Amino acid sequence: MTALERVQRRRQAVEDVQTLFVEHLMLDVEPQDLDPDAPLFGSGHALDSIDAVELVVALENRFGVRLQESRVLSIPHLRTVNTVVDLVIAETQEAA
Amino acid sequence: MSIPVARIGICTPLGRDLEAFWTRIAAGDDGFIEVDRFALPGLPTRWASAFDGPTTAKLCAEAGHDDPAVAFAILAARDAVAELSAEQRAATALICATSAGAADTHDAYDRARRGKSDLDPELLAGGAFTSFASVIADALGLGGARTTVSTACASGGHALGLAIDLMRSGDAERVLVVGADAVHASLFAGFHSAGALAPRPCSPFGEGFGMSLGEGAGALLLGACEDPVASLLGWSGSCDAYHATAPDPRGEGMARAFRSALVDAQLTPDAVGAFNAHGTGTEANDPAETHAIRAVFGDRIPVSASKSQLGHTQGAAGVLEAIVATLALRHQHLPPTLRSTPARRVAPADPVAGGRARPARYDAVMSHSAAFGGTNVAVIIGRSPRAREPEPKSPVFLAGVGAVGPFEGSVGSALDPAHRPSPSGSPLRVRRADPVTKLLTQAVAHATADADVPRHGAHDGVAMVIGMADGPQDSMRRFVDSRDQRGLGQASAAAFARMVFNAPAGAAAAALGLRGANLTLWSGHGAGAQAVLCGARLLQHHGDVQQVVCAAADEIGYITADRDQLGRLPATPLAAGGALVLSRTPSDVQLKGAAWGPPTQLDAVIAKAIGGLEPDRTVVSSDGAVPATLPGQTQYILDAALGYAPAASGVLASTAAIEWIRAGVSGRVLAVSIAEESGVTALLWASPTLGDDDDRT
Amino acid sequence: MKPTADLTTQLRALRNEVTLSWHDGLSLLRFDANRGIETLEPLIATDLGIRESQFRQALRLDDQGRPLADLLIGFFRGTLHVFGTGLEHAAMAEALSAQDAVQAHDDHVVISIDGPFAWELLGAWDTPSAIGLPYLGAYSPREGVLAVRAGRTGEYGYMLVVPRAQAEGIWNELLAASPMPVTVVGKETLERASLENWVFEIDREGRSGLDALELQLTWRLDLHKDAVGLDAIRAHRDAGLRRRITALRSGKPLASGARVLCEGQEIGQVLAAAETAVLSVLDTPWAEAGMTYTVDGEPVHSQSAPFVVNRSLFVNPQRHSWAGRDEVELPEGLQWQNTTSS
Repeated sequence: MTALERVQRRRQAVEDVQTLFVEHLMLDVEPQDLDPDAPLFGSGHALDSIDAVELVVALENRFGVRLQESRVLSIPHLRTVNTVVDLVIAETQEAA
Repeated sequence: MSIPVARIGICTPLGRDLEAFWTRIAAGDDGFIEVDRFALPGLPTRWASAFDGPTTAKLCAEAGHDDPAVAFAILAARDAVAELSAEQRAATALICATSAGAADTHDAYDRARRGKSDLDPELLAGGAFTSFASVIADALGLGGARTTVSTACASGGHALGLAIDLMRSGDAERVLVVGADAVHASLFAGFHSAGALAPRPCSPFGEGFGMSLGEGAGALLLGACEDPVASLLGWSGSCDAYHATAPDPRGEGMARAFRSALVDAQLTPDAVGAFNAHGTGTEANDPAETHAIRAVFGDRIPVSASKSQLGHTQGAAGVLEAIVATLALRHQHLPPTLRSTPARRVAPADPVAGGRARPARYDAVMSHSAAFGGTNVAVIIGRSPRAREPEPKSPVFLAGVGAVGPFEGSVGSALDPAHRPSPSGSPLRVRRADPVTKLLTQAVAHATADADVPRHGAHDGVAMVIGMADGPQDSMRRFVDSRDQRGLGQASAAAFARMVFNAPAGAAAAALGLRGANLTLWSGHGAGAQAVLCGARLLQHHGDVQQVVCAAADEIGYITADRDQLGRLPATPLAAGGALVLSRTPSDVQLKGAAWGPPTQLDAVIAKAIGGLEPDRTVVSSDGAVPATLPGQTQYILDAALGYAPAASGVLASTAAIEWIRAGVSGRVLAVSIAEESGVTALLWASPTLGDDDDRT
Repeated sequence: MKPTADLTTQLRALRNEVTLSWHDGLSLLRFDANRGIETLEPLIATDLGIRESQFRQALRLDDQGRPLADLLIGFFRGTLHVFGTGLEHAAMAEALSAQDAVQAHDDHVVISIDGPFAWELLGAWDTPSAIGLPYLGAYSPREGVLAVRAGRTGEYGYMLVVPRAQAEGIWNELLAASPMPVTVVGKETLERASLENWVFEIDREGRSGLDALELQLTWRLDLHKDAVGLDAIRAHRDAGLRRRITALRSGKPLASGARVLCEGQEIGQVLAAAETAVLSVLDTPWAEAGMTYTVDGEPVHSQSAPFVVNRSLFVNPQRHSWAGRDEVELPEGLQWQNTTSS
């Protein structure tokens, strides 16, 4: 795979996660306005623990990964869109 | 004026006989079982203080209603009114408290929608589905006004508070307060997703975090009698205006409710000898509540958490815990907090540990409830009545008005094209909210801006009374979809938090910093008009309440669509919000008269509201027929002109009245809400310059 | 009030324990809440629908959409508070039309408490309920003192805005009240921590000529409002981003301005670097995590921010304490480090 193909695949994953956020967390923004490295909880988009639960379930349904039983799931994975993308990529590769 | 408690009825897993119930409470029994009435696949706990399946079936048969929550309510209420004659019942008002209401009925409707059985139009015909109180009133032959308070886990406390104010106002000589909720699968699923359920029966203030559910009903009959059980000395509410589900962790909102209730009862903290805590066992509630108790009462007060025995009975909790506190006061004991040792790091100094009740001498107890939406309520119960210095009854004026809907902010000109509206202020953008919450918040923002309440800051003296009909339907649908598609263990916690009926009120209060008492009435058509009447009472009887926002909103959701399809709507559905701000400060519009009653007493209610003051105009909102004869030279039918918004219409009718009086096109306008179930409410608005000195508010 | 330990020790205390620091340079402005909001609405690119006793990270942009000042704005008891960095006091007052505002920096300083157990120090100094202060929440622990839960290190952090006359006394009280060793940290340590956590620093990446979108600060903007710089931002957004700030990890120290290459082609440059943590600006489509590029012939890896896993994420003030920190469940590969405190 070329560097361009790799970076485009990453971009697609980022866009998928951005869309999932907007659809499932009632964020009143366009998916593209969720900066990949912006903090999601506390400051930034000010999500809370209730949103975290929603997010994990939505990720499991959308990407067919099992996160809740998995020991890898931990707070650092939910810090930004990019850390969520890292998690999804790692888990889908694991599943494959 | 303190309010006598004449008689108490209960229906709980710890018994239905009051003395036997107290014996079990005192002995440290609890009602926890592993629930067998329904399946809970995917959930890690089945523990709740609940009735087993066969007992539930027996109770339903005895009550003559197959929805458990309704059956519990009827049985508790039946005991409380057992000694009333039919005539006395006919004059008794009813205030119900429930979080989920007839949850099993609602579930049957959701199942039917999914096509697993036929959609029975009767499921949507109303009754328990829209007006919990009217079902109970009809079952017991209660003929007074009726409404249902739904502020989630604080409903019971608010219902008692509202009853106190209605008794003080002379709206009713006798009020029955009934709190009821039943456990059901969605309730387990929602609290599980929110991460709040304890794996075993809860241990408030002790090690191990989490709450346990409970069910049951309690009823208190309030009114003069020969040998009162106890007296309600005062109450107050507050709103954290902080978060949808979590309390302010420092307990500041709770402490404000405690202090304000003491003011209302004209008591010092030292005069209160015991505290019945909300004490859910969660990591969020217990430390916040401990901080609040300590801030107001110090470490000396013993604190009992009855949820360690009864579980969290949701909307019934405030009523059942007030009953436990009342019985304990009469027996001069303190109820225990089971499993409160070993204690948590942050816990009350004396949680009445030891597993059984402890003797104590005291004259008054405070019972506290808190809920989603950041709403808190405290009620003070005394052994004996207390002469309360009578306050001069103040007139009620209009400080601000706001409306949101497809009528460009002016209901007055939508009804009467000759009326020219004045421009309204800039809209508030509401983020991360469902449709009904957006409509409500925007309407309240317009009204508070009109009343010159600064948009930024904390307003401890501004209370809210909100009316809801079908409530947050979009969030309800999202929750049901998540539960059905992902399974009980994966239901949406966010939708669960948004679908409680007071979630819109909590969000509006948080957005605008309105931190006074925060109540939501869930009474179908007419809820908005009832909110205005109850808001006026709150203002008249609480000196520290400076303004009350009375508001209601409706979204067009799946329930609306089904009602429409079945031909059950009197007009095209309307998504709208309306809000008023009431104040004691004189202004250009006065609420001259307010009265309410059952559906059968339209003429009497109108006569009481207008007294001898004939209105120029009358605005009617009705979910059924509109009577041919109404007072006033001109009549306007709101639903036909604007569309059908069951809760908001009761406020919008007043909005039109207020616009006309302000513009000088009318001197007196009567706003009437007529509902087949929740009854009739009549509000007379007038220009104070007319010089009518007779005030019927 | 000046640090005595070396940078490594200071940083270790910040990541494991609790630190104090003294801030003299912040602009502290106080407006009447209602007049202040009217003044600031057209100047601030952030939604100012902020609740009582809450603060929000905000931006004053220039008309090109680049950050002019980095602000923390909040409401407390009828006053609108602004804590600002990025401009000298006089320039800040001009940029915020703050001629009528109280220039509180004249007679106030900020003491900040940071670290996984910062809440424990605050609670020991004030009351235990202080530990419940929510993120970006504010309260007044005593007359004239404002406490805001805000930090720039990724750990628990509290800013105490203190009258200058009381500041030294309060500083000493904090040291005396602490149930654990306290390390004094300086500007250099806090800047290193903010880079490791990639907390926006206006005097670092904020002066690189990038606008708020390129800096990934869209979350601080209200794209629906009218304020200075937002027209430029909207136009840029519609045209599509050409470059974006991106985190890199490098095995070797890198210099600001070094060129980043992909398959021999230049795709961006390094903005700031400290040891292995690097901020760069990369052209689209290359500005994504999970890629390998080269700087000075050595491989660098683009990655998700932040660069560190903060132990604070696993510390719960309701359950934990510094003395019992071994009970905190840290993830694999992370453990508590001992500090030798001054």
